[in-house]
Amino acid sequence: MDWNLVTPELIVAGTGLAVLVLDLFLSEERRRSAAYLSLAGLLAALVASVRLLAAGLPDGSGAAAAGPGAGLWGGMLVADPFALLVKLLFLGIGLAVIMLSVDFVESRRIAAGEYNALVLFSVLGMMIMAGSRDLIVIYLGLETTAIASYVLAGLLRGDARSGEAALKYFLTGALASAVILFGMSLVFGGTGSTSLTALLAPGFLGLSGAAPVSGPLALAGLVLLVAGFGFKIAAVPFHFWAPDAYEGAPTPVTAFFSVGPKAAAFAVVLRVFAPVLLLGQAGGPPAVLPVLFAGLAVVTMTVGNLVALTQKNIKRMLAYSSIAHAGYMMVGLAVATPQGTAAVIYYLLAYAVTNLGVFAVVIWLNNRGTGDEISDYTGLAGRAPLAAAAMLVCLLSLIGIPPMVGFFGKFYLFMAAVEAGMAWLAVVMVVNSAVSVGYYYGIVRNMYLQDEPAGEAVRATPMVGTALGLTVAAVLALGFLSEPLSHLARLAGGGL
Amino acid sequence: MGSYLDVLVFLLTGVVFVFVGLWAAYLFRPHRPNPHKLSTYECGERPFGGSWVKFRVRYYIFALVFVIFDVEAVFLYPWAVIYRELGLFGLVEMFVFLGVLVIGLIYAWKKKVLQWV
Amino acid sequence: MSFLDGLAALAPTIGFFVLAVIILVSAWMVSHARRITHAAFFMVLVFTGVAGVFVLLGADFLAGGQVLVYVGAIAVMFLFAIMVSDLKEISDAETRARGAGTGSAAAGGTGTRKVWFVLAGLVTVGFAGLVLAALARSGLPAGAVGAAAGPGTTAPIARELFTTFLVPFELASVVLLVAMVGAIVLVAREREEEVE
Repeated sequence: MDWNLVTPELIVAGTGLAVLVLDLFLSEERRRSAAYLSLAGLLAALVASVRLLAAGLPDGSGAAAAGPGAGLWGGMLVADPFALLVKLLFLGIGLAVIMLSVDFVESRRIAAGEYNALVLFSVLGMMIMAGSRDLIVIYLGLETTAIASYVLAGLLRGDARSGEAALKYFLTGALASAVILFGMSLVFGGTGSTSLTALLAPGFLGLSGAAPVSGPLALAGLVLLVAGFGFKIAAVPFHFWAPDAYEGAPTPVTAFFSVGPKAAAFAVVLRVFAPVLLLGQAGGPPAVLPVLFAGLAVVTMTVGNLVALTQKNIKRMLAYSSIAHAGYMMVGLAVATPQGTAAVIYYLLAYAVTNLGVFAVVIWLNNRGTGDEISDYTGLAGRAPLAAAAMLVCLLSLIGIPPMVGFFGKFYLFMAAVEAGMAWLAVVMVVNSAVSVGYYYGIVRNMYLQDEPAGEAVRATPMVGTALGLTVAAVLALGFLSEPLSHLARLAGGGL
Repeated sequence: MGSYLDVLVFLLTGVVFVFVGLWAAYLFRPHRPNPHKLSTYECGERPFGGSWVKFRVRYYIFALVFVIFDVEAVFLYPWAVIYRELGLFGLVEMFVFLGVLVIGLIYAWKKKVLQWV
Repeated sequence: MSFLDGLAALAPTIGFFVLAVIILVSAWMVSHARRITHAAFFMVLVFTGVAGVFVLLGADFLAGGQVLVYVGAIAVMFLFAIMVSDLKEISDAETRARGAGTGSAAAGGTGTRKVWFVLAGLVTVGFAGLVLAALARSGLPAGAVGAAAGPGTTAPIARELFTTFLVPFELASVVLLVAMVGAIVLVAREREEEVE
């Protein structure tokens, strides 16, 4: 048992508790310290994760180098490259969201201590979801994230839409949790173990007549898990809650929802399904799963993109855009190859960075009194040239224009689909990307090509400016670093 | 299974006791209603308003906090059963568990949600 | 074998079917009771019935937990929730909706409702069929059945919970804390508004 491997989680949990207690004893005007403490804690956890990851890579010689099995308490928590890479992403998301929300929380009179503590606990839940091979631990991580998220959505004082968002998110989220739990209980019933490794017993899910235990039962459980996590990642037809929840929640929380819990749900889907899908060599994966994912991918990206075209509110538009991107990512699952898995991991990073950049601009403007309608962005290039330029970079990345990181994300998914002989899926993806130009370009046109009613300049606050600078830099840099990063993604995916 | 028979007997005795009591009282009591007798008894005061009033939202917090600590009790019970087997290790792990919840209690206390009224 | 022995052997089966009827009827009443308090009390009956099924399965700790948490705490929370909500408003709105229901506008509504009802039923039956078929084909794994036998499940559960499942156990405290803080921050907000 090596306590070193869980330092990131322990730091985040400790910081969350400390923020909660500290806030009780702080005077009203020093409430910002809650945010600073949270940032410090997340940064420390980030450093710890980087060190673990560096030690765990093949050229390292650390404790985690023991291989994919490196874990604590018999796989209850694991610290393989996949878990560590995704944890880095989660911690980065947490840092960005807290930086983006400092001013927002202050100006909207949101309870700062609770807000920051809930973000921290939510990040903790996400880290635990990604870093476990046990269904019970995954479920508890999921619930930690989910409960914190429901509350975060409803934190805006005296805003009926915030309450509506919280309630809708809670009701659909609770339903999804119930479905997931039922699925898990069937998997447990089928395998007699809560460990995911039990699913990989030879020929277990192969549906051959020789299955020693009840494979069909576990398969039914897996299908329920797809449905339950479909809710969490807002895949069509389980997406209906997302636009309302995204629109009503406080904007930094929306930014968090669009990348955080969604990425964590994808991490669990990868953790549960990637090994099952890759059984190909060993005895054939259950044929129903790739078909299921392919169908979900096509429906999700198409519906997401088409409905996004008609949106007037930028938060709603980004909600549908987020649905569409979840659809792209499911292509990587449908192809059922190691390349597909690696492409999903890469896309998770790319999408999170890019979308946080977009939301950074939205929050910047929102703090300065600009509304959330797309028409409010008219003539932005004149009022805030930096914000407009940053938005442009991020939108190009979302469309998938080189050399932004988003292009490489789509490129790897595309290649994975072609190599797996599912070229039709790649074609659907490209067509959908073309459709998405329609609504992303709407914002660009409003920002640059429309004459403005001469507004005054909008300046960013230091925190939001820093976060935006970091994310835009990442959008550009990760694009140029696509080769080593995809190598890392392949390595992480290989350890699943 | 045998020990559950006792539970069943208790359960049935309880139910029978209530209904037999009510039924016996119904047989023997005089039945002469009048408006004063039928009015709601409110500590001798003259009753006012309906009984379906809206209570203040804060009472709900008591129920919520109660649920949390009830779940905690469910964990404490099996822990107590094998406490001797677990030894110091068990003591530490339960104190970590309780410690986290105590922070919740401190939070509730400082937020003044534990005050009745 | 005497008649009494036979009855004793049959008792669990009889008990199960009695409980099943109680649970199903109560569950139906939860969604169809006219007063919301009655629905809450029928829900208590459902919880109690499920605890009874746990007893029949030999899962005595689970039955105790069910009674303690669901019958004891969750039901109390529901009753408090009913107490603090403005029931009069709800029942007035409901009456108005019922009055409008006689019009032609609601006819389409009931039509779609019926379609959903049938769909939900089909999905339920289909899924139950799938699970039953899977069970019939391959049966439960040995481990899952063995756990139900033998008296006194508390100590074995405790042994697993506090050793193998140590991580989930400690995590549960974090989940509880988040739930508590979240509930307080949302409800306390309401209270401040009341004061303002």
